[in-house]
Amino acid sequence: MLAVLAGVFVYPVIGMLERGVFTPEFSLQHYYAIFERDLYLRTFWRTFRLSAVVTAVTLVLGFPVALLMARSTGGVAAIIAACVIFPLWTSVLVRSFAWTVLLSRNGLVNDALMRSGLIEQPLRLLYTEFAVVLALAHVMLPFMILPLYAVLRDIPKDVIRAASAGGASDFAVLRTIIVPLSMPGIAAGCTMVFLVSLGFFVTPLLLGGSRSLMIATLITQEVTQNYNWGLAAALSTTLLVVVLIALALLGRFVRIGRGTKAMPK
Amino acid sequence: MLQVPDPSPACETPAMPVPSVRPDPDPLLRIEGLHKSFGKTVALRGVSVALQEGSILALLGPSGCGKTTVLMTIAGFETPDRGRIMIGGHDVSGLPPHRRNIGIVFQSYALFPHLSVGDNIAFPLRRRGIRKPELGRRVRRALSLVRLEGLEDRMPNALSGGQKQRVALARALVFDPSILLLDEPLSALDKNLREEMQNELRGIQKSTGATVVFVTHDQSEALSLADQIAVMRSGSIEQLGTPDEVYYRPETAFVGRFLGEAAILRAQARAGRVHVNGTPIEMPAGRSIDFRDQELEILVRPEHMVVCPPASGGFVHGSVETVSFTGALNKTAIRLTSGELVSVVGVGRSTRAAVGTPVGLRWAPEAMRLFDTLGDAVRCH
Repeated sequence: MLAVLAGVFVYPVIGMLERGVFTPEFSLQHYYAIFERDLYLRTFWRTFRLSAVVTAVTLVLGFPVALLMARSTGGVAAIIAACVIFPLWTSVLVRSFAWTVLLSRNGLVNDALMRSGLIEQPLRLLYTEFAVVLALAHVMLPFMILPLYAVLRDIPKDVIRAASAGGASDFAVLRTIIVPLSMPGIAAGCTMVFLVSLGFFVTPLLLGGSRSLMIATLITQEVTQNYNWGLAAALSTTLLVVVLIALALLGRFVRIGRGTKAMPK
Repeated sequence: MLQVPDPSPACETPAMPVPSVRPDPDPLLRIEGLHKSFGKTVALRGVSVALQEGSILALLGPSGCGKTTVLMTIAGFETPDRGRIMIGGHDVSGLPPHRRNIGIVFQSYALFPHLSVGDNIAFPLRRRGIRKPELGRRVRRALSLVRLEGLEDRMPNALSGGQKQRVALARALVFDPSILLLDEPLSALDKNLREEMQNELRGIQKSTGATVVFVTHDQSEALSLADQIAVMRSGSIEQLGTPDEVYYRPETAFVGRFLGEAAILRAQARAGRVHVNGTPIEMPAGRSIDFRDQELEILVRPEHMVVCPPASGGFVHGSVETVSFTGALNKTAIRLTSGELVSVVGVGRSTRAAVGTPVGLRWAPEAMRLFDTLGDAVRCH
C-alpha cells in the first residue's frame, strides 16, 4: 500500500520539484521568473483572494443549511441531504458550463434583467471574478456543508436546550453555544474549500477567461501552450509551499481533529 | 424504618377526604389539562397537577408514559395541543423556554463542553445581564452550595459523573429559577453515589426552598424524595398523592403494582363476602360491606403478610420456595397452591422459614386493597 502511494503520489511530486530546478539544467531561473513577471504574482494574489472569498461565501451560505439539516429529522433531513449531495454526482464541467449559459451576454440572467426593465444593456457577467466566485461557491458548497453538518449533528439536543432554559435567546444560543462548538467543522470546511479552490482548474478556465486567470489555469497554459515545463513546475511548487504554510498556520489556530472529543454524547 | 403507618382500610367511605385532590388555594405551578400527540402517538391525555411553592413533585411511571413530555412542556420545549401551564398565577404557555425562568437538569447533564465549570454556571447569569463582581459572587455561592469550591477552572470533560451532576445543578439553581426541573436526576449515577446525591438533593432543596418537579422511573427515588407523587401511565395521571397515599392506598391495581412489591391475588366476591380459592377472607371490622358478586384482585404489601403454620387460620396456603436473609429483613417467596408466587418480608428470626415448609398466609384485613377487574379500587357503596 505504501509502495503504491509512493509510486503514484510521492514520485510525481519529486518529479515536479526536480523539473522546477533542472530544466534544462540546474538553476533557479524559473523561480526568478515568477517574481520578475507581474502576471504570476498578480495571478497568485487573485487566486488566494478569490479562494478566500469563495470560502467565506460557502461558509455563510452553508452554515444555515447544515444547521437546518442537523436539526431536522427523518424526511426533511433526507431531502436537504439529497439537495446537498446530488450536485456532487454531476460533473464539475457540466455545472460550470451551465453557469456560462446562465451568465453569457445573451444568457438567462441578462435576458431576465433586460425584460424586467432593470437594465438596458446586457451586463458583462461572464469572464469576471464574480462569475468565478459564483460558480466556485456553487461547486464547493457541499464540501463546506458536510463537515459542518457532521459537527452540528453531534451537538447534543440537551446542550442546546440547557442554554435556552438558562435564558439564551435563539440567537444567543447560536453565538455562545452552536458556533463555538462547531469550530472544528468550520475549520475543516474552510480548509477543504480554500485549498481545493486554490488549485481549481475547470471552473476558473470556463468562467474567468484571461482576465480572471487563476493559478491552475496559468500552470496549464505554461505546459500546453508555452511548453515551459520548468516554469509550470516552479509555479506548482510555489503553490504547494504556500498551501503547506497556510495549513501549518491554520493548524496553530485550530487543532484539526481535536475539540470534538470534548463533546459528550 | 419498618414502622408501618396505619394501613388504610380496604374500603373508603366517600366522605373521607383525599388531600391530594383538594384544590390548593394558591399553587406555584398549575398544569391544566395537557394534551399532546406526536403524529398518531398520543403522549399526554389530559394531565393536570398543582404544586405548592417549596415542595417536590415526582412524575413516576414506566418509560413511555409521558412523564418526560410533561417536564419538557413545563420547560417550554414541547407545545401542548391543549391545556396550559400556569406559574405563579401567570399563563406561561406562550413563552419561549428562555423567558420562563425555569432551571433544568438533564439526564445527560448537558454541560457546555467548551466552557469551564465557572463559565457553565455563569452562563444563565450572563444571559440576564449580571456582570462582575455580582457574577463572581453568585457563581461562588452556587459552587459552594453543591460543594465544588475551587473547581471553577476545570473543563467539564475533566469531571466525574457526580461532579458533572453537581455543576448541572448549580447551573440550574444559580439564577433562582421559579421552578427546578430534574429529568431522571440520579439514573446515570452508580448506586452509592445515587444515595449520596439523593440526600444532597434534599438538603439543597431545603436550603434553597426551591420548587422541584422531577421525573423518575425509580419508585424508591420518588417515595423518598417527593412530597407529591404523580403516578403516570400511558399519558395520564393514574394517581396523585403523597408517598404514603400512593403506596398504602393505591387507587388502581397498576399503581399498587408499580410502587414497591405487592402480592396480587385473584379473588371473588360472593354474597357480600370475599373469597380466595373458595376460602372466605376476614374483612375490616365495623364497615358495611355490600359487594356485587364479581371478580376481584386483592393487593397486599409483603410487609403486611404474616406467615403462619398451615391449618391455623391462613387465608391462602402454599410452600416456601426461596428464602433470602438480608440482615435485618427476611425475604421469603411462597408458591401458593393456586400457582401464584407471593413475596413476604418480615423482621426477626421468627419470620424465617425453611425452604419447602408448607405454610399458611394471612394479613390484617385493613392492610389489603381490593380492585375490580378494571383495576380500580373497590369502594363501599
